[in-house]
This record gives sequence, structure tokens and C-alpha cells, in this order.
Amino acid sequence: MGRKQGELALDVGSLLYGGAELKGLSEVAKMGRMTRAERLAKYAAEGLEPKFAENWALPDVGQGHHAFIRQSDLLPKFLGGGPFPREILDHSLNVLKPVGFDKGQQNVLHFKVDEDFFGGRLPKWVGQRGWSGKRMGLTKYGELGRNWHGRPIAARELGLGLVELGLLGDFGDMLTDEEGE
Amino acid sequence: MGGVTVRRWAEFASDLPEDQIEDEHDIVQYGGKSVAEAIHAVLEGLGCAMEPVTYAHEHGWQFSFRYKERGLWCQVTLIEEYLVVVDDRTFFGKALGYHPAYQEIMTKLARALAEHPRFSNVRWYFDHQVHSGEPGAKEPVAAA
Repeated sequence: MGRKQGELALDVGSLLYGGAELKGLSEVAKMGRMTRAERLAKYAAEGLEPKFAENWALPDVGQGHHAFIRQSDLLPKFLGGGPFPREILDHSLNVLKPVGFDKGQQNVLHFKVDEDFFGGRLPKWVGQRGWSGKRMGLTKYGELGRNWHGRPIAARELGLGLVELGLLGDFGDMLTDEEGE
Repeated sequence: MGGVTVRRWAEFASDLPEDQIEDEHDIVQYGGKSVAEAIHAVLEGLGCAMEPVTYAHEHGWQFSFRYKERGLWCQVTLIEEYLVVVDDRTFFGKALGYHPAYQEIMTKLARALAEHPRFSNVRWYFDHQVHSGEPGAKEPVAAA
């Protein structure tokens, strides 16, 4: 009986917290599955020039946003003080790069979650030198928003599991201990 | 340490090569390498201990360096002009106020960039001022 109550608390937690997280992840996945025509139509509706839209609708081949360990971070002195190994830096738990995102989706997300990223150049055939998130009317998240929305997808998935199985699981067990006997 | 503000962003033009590499579809390597190397040389001349310039993809080019044992970092991004950030990445660095070494090297760097023959129209900005249309300041460090 106690076990059942613990499981129930876990499921309720899933709906309250994990439900919102899953909805967010589902939205991200949906964005990644858009067709090229849908992407071009979206950028046209947002007012991008056709060639700019064409460039932003290309698949994203960038390195993504390094969330926890930044490229500029150096190892502590006692570990040599040099750059972090790429295996750690580019691990899926450290990089926000949703599957299927085009250049524009990744650029917008990157702009919003990275305090050191304000825009970039465009290839010459676009006919526009560069893009600036600020000048396009985008806004950056504050510190809390950066940490929340900047989490890599793998970390979100892992975080979801940890919350369910850890905090809520423990909470469920506590309820069981107090009421289930 | 207190009572001072630091604009960590600079924007300017340069006649150095842009170094952007493109294929028929898109950018293969983002520009800004020559400017990053020029700033790297300036900081080395100012007595900083330098790490090499490395490619940072969408972010452009970057390097870490030390001034009076303080760990600092510089990033160069080519957008319309060059957008450069120089930051104190030391843990708790900003929570304790801007370190004197950071203030000192920012002041020296600003003077060197303003006098550099390959750079022009150097303006310094706070984070919220970048690409806001504000004119920017001539000096990064000022009394709060």
C-alpha cells in the first residue's frame, strides 16, 4: 500500500512538473520536424527578406550553445589550467543544439540564452552583411531564464528523471512512512 | 574595488582582412581572425600572458589571457562591424566588484585600440547597450 502511494505521488509530480517539461520538449521536437517550406513561410511571415529566410532555413551545422562549461573556460590550475577536453566541452549534457533545428531557430535560441552572443555574419549571396538579434527585436533571457531555457536537451531529460525518481520519489516515500503504516 | 562600472563590449571598424570563408551555400569559417590576432598582439604588448587564438564558430574567435595573475577572456565576433567582449571570468570575480587588474587592462586596452592604425570608431558598451543604437563611450571604465 505504501509503495502504491509513493508511486502515486511520483505520477502526480510527473504531471505537475514533468508535464510542463515534456510539453516544452515536445514543442522543441515539433520545431525540429518542420519542412523546409514551413520554415520559409515562417520566416517570411516574420518579415525576413527572402534570401535571408533561405539562409536561416538551412539545417543548423553550428556547434550549439555551450551551457555549463563554456569554450572560454579553463581547467583549474591543479589540472594544468588549459582548455577543457572537447569530449567534455561538446558532450550532449553540455551543448544545447536541438535535433532538426535550422540555422534561424538555433540562432534565435542561442541569442536568447547566451549573454556573449549577439548575432553574426551572413554569406555574401544573402546581400545583407549580418544579423543582430537586438536589431531584429529579440530579447535576451535574464539570468534565471538563461539557466532554465539554456539547458541542453539531454540535461533536461536527465533532470526530469532525477526530479521524478529523486525528490518526488523521496517525498512519496516520506508520505508513505507517515501515513501508510 | 567598488564604485566603478566597466563596459565590457567594444564595437569598431577595421581595415584588416575579414577572413570569412564561404562555399556556395553558407559560411564555412566565420571571420574576425585577423582582428583577434591584432588584439592578442596588443594585449601581449601590454604585458599579458597569452593563450593562443582559437576558433569559436558562431561566436567568432577567442582567447584567454592573464594580466597580473587575473584570468581574463576576449571574444571577437564579426557582425556588421567587429563586436569584442573582454571579460573577467574568475569565479565570484564580479560578485566582489571589478578587480583592479581588470579595470587597469581595460583602460590600457581602450587607449591602445583608439590609437591602433587598423581600427576606427571604437565605442564601449554595457551589455544592455549593445546594438541598441546608443553612441557608446570612449572609455570602458568609469566611476559608478
